[in-house]
Amino acid sequence: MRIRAFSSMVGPRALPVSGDVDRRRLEQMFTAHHEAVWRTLRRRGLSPEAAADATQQCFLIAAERLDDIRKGSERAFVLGTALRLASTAIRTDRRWQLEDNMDLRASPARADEIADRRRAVDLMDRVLSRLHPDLLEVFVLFEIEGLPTPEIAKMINIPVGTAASRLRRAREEFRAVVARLERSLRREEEQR
Amino acid sequence: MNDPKRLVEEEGSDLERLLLDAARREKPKSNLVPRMLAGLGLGVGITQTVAPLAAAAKVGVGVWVSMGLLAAAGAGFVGARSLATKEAPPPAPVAAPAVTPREAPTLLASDAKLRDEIRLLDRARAALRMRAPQQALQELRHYFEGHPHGVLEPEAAVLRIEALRENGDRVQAAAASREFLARHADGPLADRVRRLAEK
Repeated sequence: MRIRAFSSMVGPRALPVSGDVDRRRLEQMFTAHHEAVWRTLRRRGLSPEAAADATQQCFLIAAERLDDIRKGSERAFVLGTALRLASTAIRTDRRWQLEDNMDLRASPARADEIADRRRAVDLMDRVLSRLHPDLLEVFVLFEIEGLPTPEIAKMINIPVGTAASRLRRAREEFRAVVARLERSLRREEEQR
Repeated sequence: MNDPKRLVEEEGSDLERLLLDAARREKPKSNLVPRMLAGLGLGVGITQTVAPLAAAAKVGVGVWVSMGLLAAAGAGFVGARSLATKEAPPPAPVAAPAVTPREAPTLLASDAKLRDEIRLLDRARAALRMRAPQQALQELRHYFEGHPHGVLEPEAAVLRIEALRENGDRVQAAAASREFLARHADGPLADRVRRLAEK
């Protein structure tokens, strides 16, 4: 699913927030959480561009519902919205072909390490593609975004025990896939 | 219930930590941020902060790369495939988002559906603002008929509860609230529905 920029869908119109206070709050939410939202969408298989458009949508929905978002639960709201949007997306826009889409300024300057990091992200997504979507969701939020399981449970509307159980299974699957990968890599290395 | 330690912090293997660390560091490319802000209509003077390089993972990429393993992984895991990379040009620092128009979009079916969802909810909301709850309910009926699994279904359900209340259908509103809370007890809109129920 190619998720379009909201502005292109509804045409020019005022942002659904009224007043400077709301606007500032939305700006703060964006500043604080847009990277996590974008990354979460990326791990669900969206391309960088599609993830950016979906991120934008998340914050537009947040703008619509600003009055209903409790102080302190902004992250839960936008990440939860992102997951709902991602769940409707078809993973046709896979991103195995990493071109020049990653911003690597925070990475080492050496070209070989930049290339390696891209490969690592690419490889990570291949590993994650082996996980069931329900497990993947919890795994990404816990292991990559650093959220505690109670917050994850609330976000995706499941009991905390279920979140913990999904996390345990996701870690087992993740580690099994990586271990299998590691073994095959070592075998290949030995054969060289 | 205590959460386990994250794999990247301690328990993971070298390769696990390497992969997780790479995923944690990924960020949207600098040109995507102003694009998102432009779409939101925000003129945030966000300076693109270049996060300091986080403490390197206990085992860096180099170990695997020096063995040629990471490159081999690309081929070995999903079949031979070129993972040719090219170094991205250094992005220009972004002091303030440049609001540049996007290239003309090609409307896809999925976009049209979402646009229709938004349109119907906007109309329902406008009707509610004008104290025309029956009109709002009609718009919401169109919404639920056209989008039985819509992305904005929770928002539509809450609007329906508000419209029912405004229309004086307290019993139906209460039933709809109960149904909503049964499905979205911990969702971000649950508190709003509880507040409505208490009124």
